[in-house]
Amino acid sequence: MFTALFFLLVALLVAIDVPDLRRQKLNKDLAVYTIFMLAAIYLAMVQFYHWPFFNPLLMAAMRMQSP
Amino acid sequence: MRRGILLGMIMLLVLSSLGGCYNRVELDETVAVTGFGLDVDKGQKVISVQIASPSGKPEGGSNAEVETMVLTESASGYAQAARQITLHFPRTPVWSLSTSIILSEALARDDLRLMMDFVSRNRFIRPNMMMFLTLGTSPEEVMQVKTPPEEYSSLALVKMMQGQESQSGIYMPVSLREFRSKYVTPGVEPVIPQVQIVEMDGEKVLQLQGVAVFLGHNMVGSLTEKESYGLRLLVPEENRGGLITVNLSGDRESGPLGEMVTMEIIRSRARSTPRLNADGSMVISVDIEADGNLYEQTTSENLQTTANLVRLEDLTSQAIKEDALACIHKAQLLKSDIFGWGSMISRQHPDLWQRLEADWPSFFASLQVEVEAKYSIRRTYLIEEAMQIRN
Amino acid sequence: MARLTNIQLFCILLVTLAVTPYQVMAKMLAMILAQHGWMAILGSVLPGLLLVWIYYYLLTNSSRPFPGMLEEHLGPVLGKIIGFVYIWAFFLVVVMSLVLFANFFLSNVLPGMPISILLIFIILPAFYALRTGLEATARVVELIVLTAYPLAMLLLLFGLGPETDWSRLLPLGHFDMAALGNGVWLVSSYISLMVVVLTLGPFCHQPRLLWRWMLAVFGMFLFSTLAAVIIPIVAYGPVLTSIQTFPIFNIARATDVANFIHNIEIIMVSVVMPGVFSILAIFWFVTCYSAQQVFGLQDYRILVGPTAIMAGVSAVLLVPNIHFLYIMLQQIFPWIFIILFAILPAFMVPVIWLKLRRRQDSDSKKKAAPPK
Repeated sequence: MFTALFFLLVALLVAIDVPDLRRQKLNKDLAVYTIFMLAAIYLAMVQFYHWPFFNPLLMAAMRMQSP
Repeated sequence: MRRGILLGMIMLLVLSSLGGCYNRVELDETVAVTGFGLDVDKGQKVISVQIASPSGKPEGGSNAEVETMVLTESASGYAQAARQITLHFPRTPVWSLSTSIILSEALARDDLRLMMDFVSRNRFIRPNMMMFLTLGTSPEEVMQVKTPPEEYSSLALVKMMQGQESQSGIYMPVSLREFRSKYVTPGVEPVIPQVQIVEMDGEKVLQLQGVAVFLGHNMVGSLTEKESYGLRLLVPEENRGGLITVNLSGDRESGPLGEMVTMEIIRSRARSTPRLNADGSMVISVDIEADGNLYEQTTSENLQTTANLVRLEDLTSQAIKEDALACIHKAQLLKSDIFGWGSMISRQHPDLWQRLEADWPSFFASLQVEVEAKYSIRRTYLIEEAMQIRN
Repeated sequence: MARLTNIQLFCILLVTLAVTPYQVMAKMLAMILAQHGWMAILGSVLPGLLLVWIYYYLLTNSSRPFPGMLEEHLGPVLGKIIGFVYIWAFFLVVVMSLVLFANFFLSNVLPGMPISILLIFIILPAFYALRTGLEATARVVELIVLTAYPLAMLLLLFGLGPETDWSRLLPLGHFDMAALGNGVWLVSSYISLMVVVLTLGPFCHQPRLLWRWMLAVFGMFLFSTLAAVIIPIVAYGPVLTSIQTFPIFNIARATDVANFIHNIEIIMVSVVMPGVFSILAIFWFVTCYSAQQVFGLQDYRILVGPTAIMAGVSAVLLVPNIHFLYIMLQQIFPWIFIILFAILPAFMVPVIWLKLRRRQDSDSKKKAAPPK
């Protein structure tokens, strides 16, 4: 359910942003947009399905705490 | 198109908030907690909650009595015990309306740590709540006592405390915030006013009686009324209100009744300063300054003469000193620095404090203390001389 | 190109500097320095002034907003690589602001509220503001600062109730120098959030007068942070301040003015909330704008959508609980801020100075050479 809602949100954002980029043939912008959106989807999947994820901040915080 | 989609998304989100807060609680599903008590019983933590009547005062005019509802539960922790209440009580207690926390003596003598964690961590427990400690009874019993014209004993306790402070000036109200602050600060120990149940004309009534003294995580003893009065005179903050009785014979305890004079203290303030002697010993010097009015006299002697006013001022100063010293001696006996002198030393002589901190209670107990009190009479209210029957 | 008025830039900078320390600096400094926390703030005056000078120097000697100025001074390759790092540094501040506020809200107000719902409601207004543009965001921030900042200060002053004990600030001058250094370093790291001026300064009407506004912001920051650090100590003492999760919130909880003004913590939340919106929107804008500069995009706004999702998810993912949040706020983020927002800009100063020197030399040589 939550995943479906999330992808609906992604679809809405894509529907808002992508048509303009394609119309103006801004391919570089489209590529950067795609990379950022894929990163966002990956992060969401990490959260929803506990995919592997390296959290450098947490590692550093744990190291700071260890004697 | 794009603007439409964006607007649609926002509208959908706004719509979702129309139902109100997700965790809203309807008024008719709640009850106000007027006060709660914490106790221990065979290792179990006991919580008693005084509930305000959801339907208000019943019909029957001012004589109508509100049935006091006190719910009690026990568990391995206070939070757990509080949750147990919801298992047999149909409404949600609103803890944030509570005005007082009543601790049992057994809990205070046992260990305050869990209680302190419960009342400090819980966001519904307000720091301005007043604290009381039951003497020879349980918080549940205290909350069951009828306190007309007040409907709820936990509210009545707060009013009694506030009322006596400006009139008799014996006890100081202690808020959770103040207690917590002293509990965690090195060099100062907290106190809590005590309440007991006494019989008057066959009726059970609540009475403020003494002050519980703490050391570390436990209660170690109590101050009597006189010592509690002394404690109030020793705080560095300005105090307003209070009465003190002196006897013209000089004997306050057993002097002739006909020579009793009651003096009012309008304001008083104590200044304590640590003094280091050449031999390394320390003396705490306390200066109490107070002023007030002649409030009541049983003697027919004209007290408003220059000589008598000076005499009265001296007697009152002496009485103030006596009460303050009584409190200091008791605190030293209990090894509990309820005056915050350790904290004062830590601020004024941090190097010295580093040496003393570990063994402060013992050092405090053997501290040499010098008290000076100066009372000044300002007025005599509506009459100058005692009423005389002239033949 | 969007234009900001000087007062708008002032408000933006004040929000970026003051909001986070308002929420957490009292606790962090009480943990390090007990009652001497305020000394760390005074100690950070010099580092702060130095940072103001560094940022002003970079602004007046660059033609492009940050991170474009990195390419201008360090060359396109190195400039782009470092600029790419900055995108994530700015993004980190966005996530930090989100996590901090979420924890503030969920610890004190609505513990049972799903964090995802809360994050959506924080992100959404900032999302809309950024999509609308920098000018709209700046106007909102201006209104927020002018209304919420005085109220935030007033709420703090209300905390000075009858139980206030100024002697809790004593003893003076009895502290560990290493702890003071640590405190100054911590405060300075949060002052370095003023780095956004490098991006937003060029949008200002009168960039040459920016130093005045930056100094004014720095002064206001010192005042508000001093108040936020001192008041919990005189109200509760250093020990209690250091063990409370958010001492400032407890100040509002305990406020009781003449038995008339009390239970005002919800007002404090409603003051902090627009502040968080502001810092979030500003750093989010700078994140997207940096990405636009680094990747050479036409408009930063296309990145607002994807970064919104990233920020929301990262806020849950990166910081698992408040314990780690405080470790990060106290020990990890300051390192990142100092290195990227203070040391690297400071490193650019001699680079620019040498470049200018060389240019002047070559100009004077050209002038000195006899015409052929």
